[in-house]
Amino acid sequence: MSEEPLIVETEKMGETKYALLGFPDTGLVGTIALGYAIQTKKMREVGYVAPRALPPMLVIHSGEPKSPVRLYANNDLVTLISEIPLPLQTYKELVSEMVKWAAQKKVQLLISLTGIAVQDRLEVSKPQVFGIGGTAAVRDLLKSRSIPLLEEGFVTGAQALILNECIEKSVPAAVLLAESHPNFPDPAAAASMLELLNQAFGFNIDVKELVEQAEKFRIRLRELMQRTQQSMRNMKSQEGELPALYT
Amino acid sequence: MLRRKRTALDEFDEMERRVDEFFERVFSVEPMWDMQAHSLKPLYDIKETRESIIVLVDLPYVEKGALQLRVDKDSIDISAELREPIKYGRWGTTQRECEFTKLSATIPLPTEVDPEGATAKLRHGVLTVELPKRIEKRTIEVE
Repeated sequence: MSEEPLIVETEKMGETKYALLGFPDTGLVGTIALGYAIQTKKMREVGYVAPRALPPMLVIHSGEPKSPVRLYANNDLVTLISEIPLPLQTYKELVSEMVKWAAQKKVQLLISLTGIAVQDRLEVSKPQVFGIGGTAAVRDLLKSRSIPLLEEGFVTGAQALILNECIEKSVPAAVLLAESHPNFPDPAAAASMLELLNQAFGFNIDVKELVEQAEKFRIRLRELMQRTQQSMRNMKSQEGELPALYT
Repeated sequence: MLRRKRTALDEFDEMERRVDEFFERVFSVEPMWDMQAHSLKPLYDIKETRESIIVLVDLPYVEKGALQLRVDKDSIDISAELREPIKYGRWGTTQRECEFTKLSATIPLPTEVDPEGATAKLRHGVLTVELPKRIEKRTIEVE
């Protein structure tokens, strides 16, 4: 294995206050929320995850081959977003490196954004967002910012790896889960997530376009949702059967 | 030449195309679009109870009146005109412009159903079709 770091900074980054992570999973909540935030906040591309750690795919942007997992920054915020669903084995190595990187950058709070499948999603007009804090201090912080805690349930896959690794490496971390369609992309859940981040941490991301264009986002994200479901099914078969994460 | 300002939707379009092409090439999966028919395949989910099959289909950007639904004993056909065509500026490796006007699919059912008893409703852009299973019951005399 190469000694070169997996997280490559194309623009040197100093210490950072918040790191937000968005991987394709339930309802594509994290991917939609962060993809939208990167665009509307005009965040700069500042790094990437070395493709040797990822499935064999490079994306071509304006003729330039790039890693599908990249970092963007703006003021005291760094985001890491993946354009493709990743297999469990990839997450294991990637999460370890990512959390090591967050510790070096003295990240004050690492937040992973995801969806929580609710079967009666059609009855929910405004999806709620719940938090899981890695430590008592983070749980107190979430409560002080009016984020309800997920009191009982399971967290699996990438989110479990992230939380566990952060606890081991003493990186303050939270997983935020927005109520979401189990199998369809859910821009409304992503909008609820961003509104909560605005209210709790002052990110000031205008969700107007996301709400107004939600139906078009749903059409355009069909393929990514389908591939993500395939990837999540594979992951489940590797993890063994656990009940889904419900409140 | 004036260029339209890129929006968050444009970024997701490109991301979607790249993911689709990658998976088609690497894993030979069926594409979710038909360029000749200007048609996109919707996402769907099938649930099963003892009595019925419930099919959920994601049909955003569709009005109830623009939806055609046909139920057979072992499949359902859906064709739904989009409120407006969805245009893509750079589609596929050839980077051609193209547009799609409908969502359509034939969804195979896991077991035979009674089409006469089917019900359907469209809420928040999600179509729910409930189909009673064709269950032939008879009483058996116990000796």
